[in-house]
Amino acid sequence: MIGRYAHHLCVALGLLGLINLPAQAAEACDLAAGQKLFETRCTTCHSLAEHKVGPKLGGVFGRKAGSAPGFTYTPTLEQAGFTWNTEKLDAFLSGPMTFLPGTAMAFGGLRQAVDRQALTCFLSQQGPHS
Amino acid sequence: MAEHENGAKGVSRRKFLHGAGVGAVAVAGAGVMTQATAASGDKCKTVGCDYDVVVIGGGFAGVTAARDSRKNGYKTLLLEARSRLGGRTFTSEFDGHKVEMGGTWIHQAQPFVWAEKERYGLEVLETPVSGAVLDKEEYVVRVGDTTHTLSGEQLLPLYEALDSFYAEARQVWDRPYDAQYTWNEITRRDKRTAQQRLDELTLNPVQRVAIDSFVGATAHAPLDQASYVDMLRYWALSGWNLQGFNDAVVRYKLKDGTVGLINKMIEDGKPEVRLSTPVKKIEDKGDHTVVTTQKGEKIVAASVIIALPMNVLPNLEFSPALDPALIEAGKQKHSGKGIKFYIKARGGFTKLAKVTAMADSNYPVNLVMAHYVSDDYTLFVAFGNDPSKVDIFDIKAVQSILEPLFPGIQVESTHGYEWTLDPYSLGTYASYKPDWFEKYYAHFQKDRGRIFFGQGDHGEGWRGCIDGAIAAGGKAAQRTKEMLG
Repeated sequence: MIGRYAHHLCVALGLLGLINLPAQAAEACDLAAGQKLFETRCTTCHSLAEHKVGPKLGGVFGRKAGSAPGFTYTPTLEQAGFTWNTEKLDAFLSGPMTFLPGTAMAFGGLRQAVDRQALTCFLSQQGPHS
Repeated sequence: MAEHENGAKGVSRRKFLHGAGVGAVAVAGAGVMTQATAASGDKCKTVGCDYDVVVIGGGFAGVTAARDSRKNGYKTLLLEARSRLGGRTFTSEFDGHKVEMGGTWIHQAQPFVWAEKERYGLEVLETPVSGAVLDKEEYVVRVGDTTHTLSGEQLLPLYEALDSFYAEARQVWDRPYDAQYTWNEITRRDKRTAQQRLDELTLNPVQRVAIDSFVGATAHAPLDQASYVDMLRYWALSGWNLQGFNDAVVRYKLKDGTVGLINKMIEDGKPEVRLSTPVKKIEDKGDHTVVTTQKGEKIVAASVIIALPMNVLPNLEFSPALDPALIEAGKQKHSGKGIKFYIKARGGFTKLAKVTAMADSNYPVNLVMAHYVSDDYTLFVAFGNDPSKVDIFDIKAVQSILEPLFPGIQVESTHGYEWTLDPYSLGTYASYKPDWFEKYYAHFQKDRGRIFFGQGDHGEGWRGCIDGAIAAGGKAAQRTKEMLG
């Protein structure tokens, strides 16, 4: 129930223009490129809808790091203490193990800023039920 | 016993209750065990323990050890750090095809894995997989800035070169499962690198690249970091000839993936499995052991089987302390530290053929082989000895690496997994480094007290391969049984 209210609150705030709705962020980026990046570089270990080797990524934006129910994180992620947003995801994706030493995500990172931008943009559009 | 009880006190009430119940239960017969549908119905045979056997590491070694231990009648728990089983095997999907991100090929010359394939009636596929008959075989060899395309009789000098590289294999590994039998021959060459062996042979540049590529992909390291004698071991294991070697290491893969075999083994043995449970500490208290997870849970067991990659061993705490040689070797890391990835491409190569490209240790990829072949496109599997030389997810970068090998090729997508970055593997398939036989061989896979070592990286035979992992796990389970009675 709390989650549902929180969702309503977010929508309401979004309508009032108090927070950035995902749709606004999407205007500035290439969703198709982001989706392709997701499909080619993330789906070995991740899905939007369910936990695989890594946690589900639908709804990752705005989610507290290391908090998706039902997934067991490394202590590093659990204790990260931040909420995923464009800036944090960009930093993480540029080198997961540099940004968060101790993560178990075996990924060297997206070296191109434009790729990170497209991917974070795509992820920002994926709600928890996508 | 007093120490045991003290050790168990800090654990949990449930464990005491569990232990208390054991006294009232007769030792379960094998029939009872196999009828059990859930591992939770088992009772630990050892008073005060949660489990008779805790296996740490859920790759093929650990899964085998856990299956066998449970079938031996022991209450068994398998602990795996990742959220999946399989360890350095990982069946994934790429472009609608099942692909193996890690260990892939098996063969009847690999006795332990082939026995499992037969036991469970699993099918294999021949690679390259194709709906068409692939009767053309073509090799592309990159020498400096020149690309040579060879087929048929043109390949004979390459075969001869490989024969000459491995010429001492019979002498050095007359019994490939018994290093002691030729110990002096092994240690006499222990310090030699594969590069030193290559340098002493009189070969033309194409032959040199062929060996560099072939041996480099076997070691998954540049030749100057690969042990010459350990490379000879592979040749001996496959019958001391090229055909046998090629068949053994790149011909058959499991149709339903390595995960298919893992699942069969788990279904068969039904050990209790806990995923996403990294272990922090392993203590041998004399008459029992305590395993502490990273989350702080303590598990009391009669015995522990370590089925972890040698490179991650230094990251766990042991009490009594681990043999320092194991820490030293683990920090130094085995030679397998390269990259393996898949490439979907069209054009630039002969269609419907078994295409292989070879390049030397300095090139970002050293061996590229057709893996799935259709009239429309080919999926290649590529091996490189240094992950920093290629961003496997950057299609443009991969295109620029493949273009000189296959002029006109169009790379469409790539797929891979960076094992060297994964904290639970810290490397790829293991082979030993130069100088390791004398320094470490006697230290590897040595049980201590209630802690048994069943690491796939060690042991005689096909260590470093799926087969060696199954062998290591099974042997460790057997030794554990001998101790537990």
